[in-house]
Amino acid sequence: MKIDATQEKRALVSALVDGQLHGDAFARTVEWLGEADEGWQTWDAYHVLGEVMRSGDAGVQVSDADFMQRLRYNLQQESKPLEALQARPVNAPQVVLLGVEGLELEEDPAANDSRFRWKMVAGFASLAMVSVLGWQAMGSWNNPATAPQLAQLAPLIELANGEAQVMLRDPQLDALLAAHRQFGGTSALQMPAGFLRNATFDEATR
Amino acid sequence: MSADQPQPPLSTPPVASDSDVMLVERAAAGDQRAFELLVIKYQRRIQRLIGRMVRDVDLVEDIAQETFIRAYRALHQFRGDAQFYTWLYRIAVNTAKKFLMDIKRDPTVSENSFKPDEDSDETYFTKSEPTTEETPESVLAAKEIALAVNTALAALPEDLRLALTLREIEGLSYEEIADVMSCPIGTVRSRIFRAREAISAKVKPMLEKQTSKRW
Repeated sequence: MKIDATQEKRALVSALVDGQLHGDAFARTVEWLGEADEGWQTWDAYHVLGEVMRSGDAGVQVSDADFMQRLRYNLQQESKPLEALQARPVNAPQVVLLGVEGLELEEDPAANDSRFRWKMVAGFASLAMVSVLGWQAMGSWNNPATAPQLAQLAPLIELANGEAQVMLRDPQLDALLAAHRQFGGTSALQMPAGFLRNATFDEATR
Repeated sequence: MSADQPQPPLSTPPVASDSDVMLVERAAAGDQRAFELLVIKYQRRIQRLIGRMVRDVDLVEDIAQETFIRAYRALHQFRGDAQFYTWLYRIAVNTAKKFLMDIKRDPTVSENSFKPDEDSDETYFTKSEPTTEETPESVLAAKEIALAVNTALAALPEDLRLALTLREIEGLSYEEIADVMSCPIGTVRSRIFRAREAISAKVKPMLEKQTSKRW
């Protein structure tokens, strides 16, 4: 039986349906399927008849063309960001492509370009801040003597004769406190009083 | 087709899923047409599966679309450990479940849009319960196609019918069919092709009639 070229290709499609093609024959057949409407129809028809034989019906017969058109559109939308990512490395300059008819095609900037630039600036600023702080910390760590003194204890004052310091107060107040000893100190009022401030009587020290 | 003709290389051992794996590899490498061949191959099964979980015909198509888009995104994750359809099946069921959960949260969507048993799979299908994607026209067209296939199959010579039946229904490899029919593998391939040609000659006009331009 003589067969034409198209019939031979359909025979390859039949073998492909059964997983019988490999290597070059597989590649050639898939390419033909991609190019020719007849290839798609044959591929579809072979699968439909297989499903009918197995299940007894032809399955859901929705509008395949619409489904495929919609899917193609969605897949193109899917692959656009991926293609852009693959075509242009990060921070690469804008690539100007020459179209088939000499028309200049300029790649659109990515939607997140501006955000990326701001992030880069913020990153450099953070890095500079950390560097300055790190430099200061390293300096004080290596040479504590040269570090600026931020606070200092008040100098202690000692009397020249070494005697204990005695507070001089009004004798009338002392007499009054001695007479009313029960009101001396905070325990008498059991609460802070704004008009009595540290007015206690200590007879032994006088 | 003569059995003496030069034959393309045959796989050893031949399994149908080999084609799927190779098509996935091509698709993952950027050949979108290869992925579309897989879509054509499995679209009906996937839509039938989803149609058992969801009533709304538009929703069935939306979920099927989302299933194939998710599969396309995840092609590089397909290791080939399982059959491609098994992998696709899981994606379809998970996608349908997510859609159903979203629908249940949406008060504007009627409960009639989904079926009560969302864990159902293909074994759940009951013939007596038509789905909304089965319009009277589509049911009639499916019946006509099924009748044409069965009629054409019955009219085939015995050797062609047996070869195709062993392949499509029993799932035997070409080597196994060659053993059963006591003939060379090239003859098996030729018989299966001639059987398919005879049947598809009856079916193709019906498929083309359903949509004026399918692809």
